[in-house]
Amino acid sequence: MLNALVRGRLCSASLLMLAALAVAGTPAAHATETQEEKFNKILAQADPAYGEYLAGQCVTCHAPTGAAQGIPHIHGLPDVYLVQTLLEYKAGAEGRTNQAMVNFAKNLSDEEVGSLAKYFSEQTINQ
Amino acid sequence: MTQMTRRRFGTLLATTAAASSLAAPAVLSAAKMRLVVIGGGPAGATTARYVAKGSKDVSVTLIEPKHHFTTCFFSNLYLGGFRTLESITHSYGTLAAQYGVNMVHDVAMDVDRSGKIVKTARAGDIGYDRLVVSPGIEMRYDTIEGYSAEASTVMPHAWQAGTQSATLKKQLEAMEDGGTVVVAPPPNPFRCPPGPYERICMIAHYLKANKPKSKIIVLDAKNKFSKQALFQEAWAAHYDGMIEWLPQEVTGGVKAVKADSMEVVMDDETVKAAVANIIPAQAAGIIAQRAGLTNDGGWCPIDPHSMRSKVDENVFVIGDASVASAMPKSGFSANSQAKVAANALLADLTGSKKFPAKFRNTCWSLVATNDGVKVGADYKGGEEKIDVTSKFISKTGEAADLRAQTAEEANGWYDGITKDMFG
Repeated sequence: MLNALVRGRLCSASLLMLAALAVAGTPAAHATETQEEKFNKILAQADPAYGEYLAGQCVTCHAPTGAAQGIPHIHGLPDVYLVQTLLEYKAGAEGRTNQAMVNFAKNLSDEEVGSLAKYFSEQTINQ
Repeated sequence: MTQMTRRRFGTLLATTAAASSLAAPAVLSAAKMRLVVIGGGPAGATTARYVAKGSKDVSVTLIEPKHHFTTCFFSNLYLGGFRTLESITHSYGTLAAQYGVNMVHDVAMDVDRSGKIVKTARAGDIGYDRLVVSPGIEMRYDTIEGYSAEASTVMPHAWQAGTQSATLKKQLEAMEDGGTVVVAPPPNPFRCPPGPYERICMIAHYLKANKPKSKIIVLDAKNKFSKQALFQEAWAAHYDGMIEWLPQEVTGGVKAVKADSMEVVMDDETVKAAVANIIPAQAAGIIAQRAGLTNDGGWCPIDPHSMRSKVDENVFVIGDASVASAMPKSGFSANSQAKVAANALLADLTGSKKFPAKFRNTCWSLVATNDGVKVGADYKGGEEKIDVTSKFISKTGEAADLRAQTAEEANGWYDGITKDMFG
């Protein structure tokens, strides 16, 4: 899990670049949006009931047991980290190459990213 | 169908309003809504668990004859020696103890849909407000002359895990080195499209280590198959010269079997087998047919937004028995469909919110030690059917470390899905 966190931080640089590219030419107020503000805006859209429903698609693989046999555990991780990770998969960031995750994340809206991140951040590991 | 539900809740609200504060406890203490689930596989067990944990106001009954469930997924790994049968066998104990699911270990014999009653073999009639039919598959023995439930004890299909898997493994262990193993994959549609070809890998893996002079002849009912390039790459790389795949256009497919002489008969040729794994054509489990939920092809049409039967609004069909169009018949698909159905069932029974139908599937196949491949897709409820949103597949020629990672991932998935099914 430490590795995954470190990888997440490294990827955030490329994500910032993408974000910067995306907002080029838009009003100045948007161009100055920090990554933190962006993540918080996404988290503010979270719908708890929708997050719980969507999480059904994740837990087929991501067990709530804390074990990580080739599939990292995601229950109880920080919401901001989970938003960042899902956005990295969605953007096809370096190191985020797992086909199942890329395929899943590319279909997610901001509301869905926020709802999932919020839901899993509130779960505890249950063995 | 949703109109009816809305009307019902409209009535409840009106009652509450009319009788003021006294009405609320009366409504709360009213008899619980009853969900009955037939079949405790990936579809049925998951639905039961999700509805039970979703609401205390719904009583959930799961009708399943077996006390322990051996998963079909990973049963090929048992044949290859990577798993024990015990490690892929699960109890319903947690569903009963922790989630309050009422387990009825019995056979559902018939459904009276107008009276909303399931008739069981020994436990009598069980009434329902909503019914889930998830019986999996029935073997169409009649499609191969001489094949039958009895013949399958000698020439196992092993396409329902447990005793059949154990029979096939024992036969492989008992055969002489240099013998011929026949594997006969079924015509479409069938449970687990990559399954027969993963099985060929796993049998070859066992034979290569233990009986290297043996051969596998594949008498396919089809001319192409799932993950074909990946499997054929693996057969050449790991089991060169051991496997001969013969498509339907070459042999005409298996027409008859003779269990007493271990012969497998095609149009112009007969093969004598040491072990014959005959996987026949399939249809929805017999209870789905008896309940009148099937189409002419023997499968159950469903609404792609909920898995609700197109025949009866009070009945849902989930998993292999359903016509899920683009979704393959797999344990993953069934588990995914169950969560869409559970959301719709809770909306029906408790008035909770129904969300858009989203489904997923991934099928991992182990082709050799530390060599795994996968195929998968995301889906949504479309206008007429379940539609693919996006999909992916492993590539031929992938690096060994990626293949090892994919194989390991499958182990993680197995733990995840079985926890999601059985708690």
